[in-house]
Amino acid sequence: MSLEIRNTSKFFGRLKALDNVSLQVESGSLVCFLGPSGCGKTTLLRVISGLLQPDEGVLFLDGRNLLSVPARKRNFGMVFQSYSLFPNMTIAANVAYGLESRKWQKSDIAERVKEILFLVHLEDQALKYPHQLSGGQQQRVALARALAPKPSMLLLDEPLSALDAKVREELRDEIKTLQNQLRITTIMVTHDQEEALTLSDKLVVMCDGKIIQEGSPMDVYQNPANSFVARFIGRMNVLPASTGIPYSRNGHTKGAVPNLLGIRPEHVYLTTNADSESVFKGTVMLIRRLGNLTRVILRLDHIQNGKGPIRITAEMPGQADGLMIGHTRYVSMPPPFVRILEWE
Amino acid sequence: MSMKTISKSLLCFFFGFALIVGFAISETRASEITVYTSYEEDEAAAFLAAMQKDLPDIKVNLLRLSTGDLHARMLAESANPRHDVIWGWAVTNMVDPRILSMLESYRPKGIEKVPARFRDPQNRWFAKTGYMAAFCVNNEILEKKNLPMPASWEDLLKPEFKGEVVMPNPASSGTGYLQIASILQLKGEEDGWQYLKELDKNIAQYIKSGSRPCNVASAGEFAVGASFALRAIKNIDEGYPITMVIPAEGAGNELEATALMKTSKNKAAAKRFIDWTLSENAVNEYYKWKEIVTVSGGNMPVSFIEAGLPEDIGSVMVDMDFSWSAANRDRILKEWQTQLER
Amino acid sequence: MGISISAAGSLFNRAKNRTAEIDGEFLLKVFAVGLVALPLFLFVLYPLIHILGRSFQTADGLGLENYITVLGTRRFFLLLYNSFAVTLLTTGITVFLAYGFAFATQRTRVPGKNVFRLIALIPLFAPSLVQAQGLLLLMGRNGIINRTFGTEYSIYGFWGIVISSVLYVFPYAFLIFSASLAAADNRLYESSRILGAGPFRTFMTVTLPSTRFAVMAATFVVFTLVITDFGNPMVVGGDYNVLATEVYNQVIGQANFELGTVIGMVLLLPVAAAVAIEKVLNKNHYGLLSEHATPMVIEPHHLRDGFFAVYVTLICLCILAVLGIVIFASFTHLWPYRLDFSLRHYAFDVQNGIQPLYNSIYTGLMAAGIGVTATGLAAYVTERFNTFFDTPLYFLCIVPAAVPGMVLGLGYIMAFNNPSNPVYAIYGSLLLIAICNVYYYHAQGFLIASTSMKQISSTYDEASAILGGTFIRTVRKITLPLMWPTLLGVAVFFFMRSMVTLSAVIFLMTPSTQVAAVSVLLLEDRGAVNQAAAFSVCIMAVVVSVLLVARILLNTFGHRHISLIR
Repeated sequence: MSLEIRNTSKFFGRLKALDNVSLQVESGSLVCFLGPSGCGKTTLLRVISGLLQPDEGVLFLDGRNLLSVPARKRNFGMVFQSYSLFPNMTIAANVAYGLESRKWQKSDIAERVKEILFLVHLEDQALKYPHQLSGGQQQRVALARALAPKPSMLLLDEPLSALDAKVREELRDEIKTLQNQLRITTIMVTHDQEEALTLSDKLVVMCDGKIIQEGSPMDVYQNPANSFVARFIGRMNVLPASTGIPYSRNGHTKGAVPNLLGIRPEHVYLTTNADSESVFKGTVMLIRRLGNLTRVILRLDHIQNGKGPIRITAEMPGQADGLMIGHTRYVSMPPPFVRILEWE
Repeated sequence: MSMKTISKSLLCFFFGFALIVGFAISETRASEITVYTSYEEDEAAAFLAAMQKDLPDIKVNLLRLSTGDLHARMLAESANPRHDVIWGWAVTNMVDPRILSMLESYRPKGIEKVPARFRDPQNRWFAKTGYMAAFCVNNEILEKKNLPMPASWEDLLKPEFKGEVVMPNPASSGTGYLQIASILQLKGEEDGWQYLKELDKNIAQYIKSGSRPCNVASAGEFAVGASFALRAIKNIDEGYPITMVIPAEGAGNELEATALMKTSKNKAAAKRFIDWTLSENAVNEYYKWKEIVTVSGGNMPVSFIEAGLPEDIGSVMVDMDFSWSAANRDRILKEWQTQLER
Repeated sequence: MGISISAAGSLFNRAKNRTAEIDGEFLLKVFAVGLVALPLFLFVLYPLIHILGRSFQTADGLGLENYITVLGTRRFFLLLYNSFAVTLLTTGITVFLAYGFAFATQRTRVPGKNVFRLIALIPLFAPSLVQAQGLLLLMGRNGIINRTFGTEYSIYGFWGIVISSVLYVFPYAFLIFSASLAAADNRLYESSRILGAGPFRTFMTVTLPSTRFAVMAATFVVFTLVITDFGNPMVVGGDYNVLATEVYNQVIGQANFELGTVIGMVLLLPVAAAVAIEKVLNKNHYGLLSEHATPMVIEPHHLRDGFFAVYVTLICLCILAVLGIVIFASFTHLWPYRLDFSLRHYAFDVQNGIQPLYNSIYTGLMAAGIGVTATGLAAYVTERFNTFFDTPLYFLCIVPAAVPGMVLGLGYIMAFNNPSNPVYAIYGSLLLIAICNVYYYHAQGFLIASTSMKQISSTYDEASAILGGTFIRTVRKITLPLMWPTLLGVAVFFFMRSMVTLSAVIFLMTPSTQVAAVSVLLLEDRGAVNQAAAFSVCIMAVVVSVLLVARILLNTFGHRHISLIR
């Protein structure tokens, strides 16, 4: 099932929650909407689900106009951040709800409920009530409930954000496995960039109701379109182009002189002595040892922006033994890794 | 959701609603009449029981309200009266032109038994019973506070009765109005008002109903309650330590009239009911309960006499000018409200 | 949030998309909005308009004559003064006492809290004039106290009204404070203590500010109840008249509808203003308690607990004494002369006998059914449909709070006693009395239902819609099963109020539809004290039994937390 969103806008009063959004979702892919809260990602998901009607624009599902189809007839599955399991029903009854709504045969329902609960490893919890389960278990039930009626598309609204870090990771993998197994077109809304990077086939970064950038996670990570994306996804040093740092134009050809440049911390190298590549002298301001990785923040003494000396973050594997605050290091930023960023 | 489900649930809803409404409406049966009365509850109940023996096929819905209340209600409902018969209601109120215009002329069987001065020349109403003013005096309080037994309206002016006398509010109570009407008729308006102003200094409360002054005096809340004779007699019967005093000046009195409504939807039954109110059984019943019966026959019960009612009550009654009372009602009440109402 | 807003939403919301199909669900929603709004127009606004019209109606056409007549008299200003004097003092005393009582049951370790709590609520189970009834038996000129001590204290008048009114409205204020004080964030109290504040300072800086909305709400509720109550002033007021009794007298006693309506309108003003102010002030105080609040831990404190134990005991004794004496008097042979046990007042050998009690029960059941449907639907529509109509509909639903019962009752006579009005078909029936009660108490019932609706996450509805559930299926399978305990509570609320209310129904009763609370008033009014007491006792017994049954039902199904007494 492929979905096409064309020139869609949605207003809440004077607030423009969606601003002329167009998007293509390929059949069988997992797409993540990523952005800070209030960026319009949930609104977009709700428009797709049919819970909200857009003020402008159209939606097509396999070429069929979706707007005239009410939510309950779209045959989508949806998982909510707050689980939203019906508290008055058992797990089995929750999972069966959508099947009954769609008038499945009784025997088929029983079979399907069993099958889908097995898929999420909850077959022995069928007769319990939601409040008797842990958060992670509840969300797996919600997933099972959404998948049970064999929906044409699965919509996940921040499904993991209410869970503990450890459970979140487990369930994240489980969702990925299930999605791979079922090849179901899936859209997931999240504000967690790590989740988005690890899960998605396609990443859609949103801000202020607009899509800022879309593409494969790798692509978006490596080639952020502007400083917003650069800062939001992973870490990136954003520097004024006027600093004279050399850059390569790979990919970005438009624009004669760039304004901003960016480089990921892992591509910033430190050496004790100046050489041909390490031309910027810096003073170590802060060292964070994170176990497998050390993050160092330096002040580049000779490079100024409007407010003073520029700071730059570098990351290196290991413990960086011997490095102390106040040490002087020379910084190298290899031009192939220096990206041209558009203004936000 | 299909239209079918919607219409099904709507149907259910409306059937349910119709059922309730239907149940509420079906309460009106063919031989059923609604009667408004100001008879005291206990006497009305007794009369009705006797009536039910003679006319078992008629169901009477009886609303009992005090005289003024009933007046208000009938005027309120005048666009569409709910009742078929007015039974036992103060003549003074009955002759209000707004009420008269709602009444139908009717000569019931046996009307000739009622002396002509107790009926409307146009046969819109007739009065067969009446009641008279009396004081209920609490013996216990008199003894405790060492008060003399009052014998007359004049006695109530004595300073020792200050705060011990309660009287009905004439605006709402028929009894209250007959009391001040009788005083004004006895003493003449000027002296009458002068007296009422004097009396006001001793009055603890003007009470909205006519029977309550006697009841609160019976309960010992106040020493003297200006009320009417029947209430005093019944309360003595009940065992309350009170004495009935008929004011020496003469007892004001009021007649209770009966009438048929033009708008009655069941006139046949209403007329049978009115005919019954003049039957022998009815009259006998009146004599058991009422100090004044305009139709001859029957004797006064012993309890009445034991309570202190003279056998010839005509001797203690003020000869009331009912047409004067009726004609001046609005003016007197207005005067009373501006001068004395609290 | 609506189910399948796709269909209805595009037409209801501001929308440029007109492509949506209009299906049955959309029609159903329009129908539901109509079902909520139309009865409110018919049974609240329409009668009010009639009253308003009638107050301007004079012998020669429309005019201000009635207003000039009423407002131009010295008596009117006396009554106005009396009403405000009684109401303001009562409000002050009640708010103060009830706050302390609620504080004692929520924030101290007074033993037997539940018992005290229950006692404080007992006045809600009895007709509103029972306090005056009891007060007279207790402190009348020939009441128990004067008889016992040989004193001559008279309770009639100002203080009688104030005392009986305080007892009458005490539970209403107590309920509001109790709910407010129950919600507390322990962290605030801990920080206050750590910062070195003593108990008094903590109270002034933390407790009082966090309950200021409750203080406001209670003030307005109490004010409204007292200024429009005529039961207590009638019984114990003696010659001390107030506006509410004047309406009763003008209309019932003197057939003066025009003047009655004028005073009714005058009464409507302060009440409407009070309600409006409260709604505006309270508009944005949702979520006073943050999500991370920790529950209150109350440490024992001998001095405080001792003081409040004495305090609640004294108040409970007052409440019990006044109610107890009524019950006692109903079982005596001849109050106050022969106090030996007798059941003769329960023979109800008055006209209509015990029938009014059955009428009351029947009316109460109807009011419960209609009330729960009307307010449940209203709450659902305003909370879940998300349409353009939400705000006006919400306002319409709480408008009845600003309408004194007697004004509403008067409006019913004027609007519906007219054969050309379709409602006339049920005029003079218990059904209309039930409807009148429902719309008189509509605002409170609606607020109970909609608060509970708010607590049920709207994502259930959304989840159901996505799973293919229709509107009806969602309501049947999810909303109703989750709501039923609350709805039962609402039904009990309507039943209870219907059993004890006096103000609206007094204008609507007919020979075949006399209800028990009116019987009490009429019996009391004509001085049949013992029988009036017996009737009051019967009403209390019915209300308490219904409460018990509902409580057992709720507890059986594990809904202990649903409170039935409102």
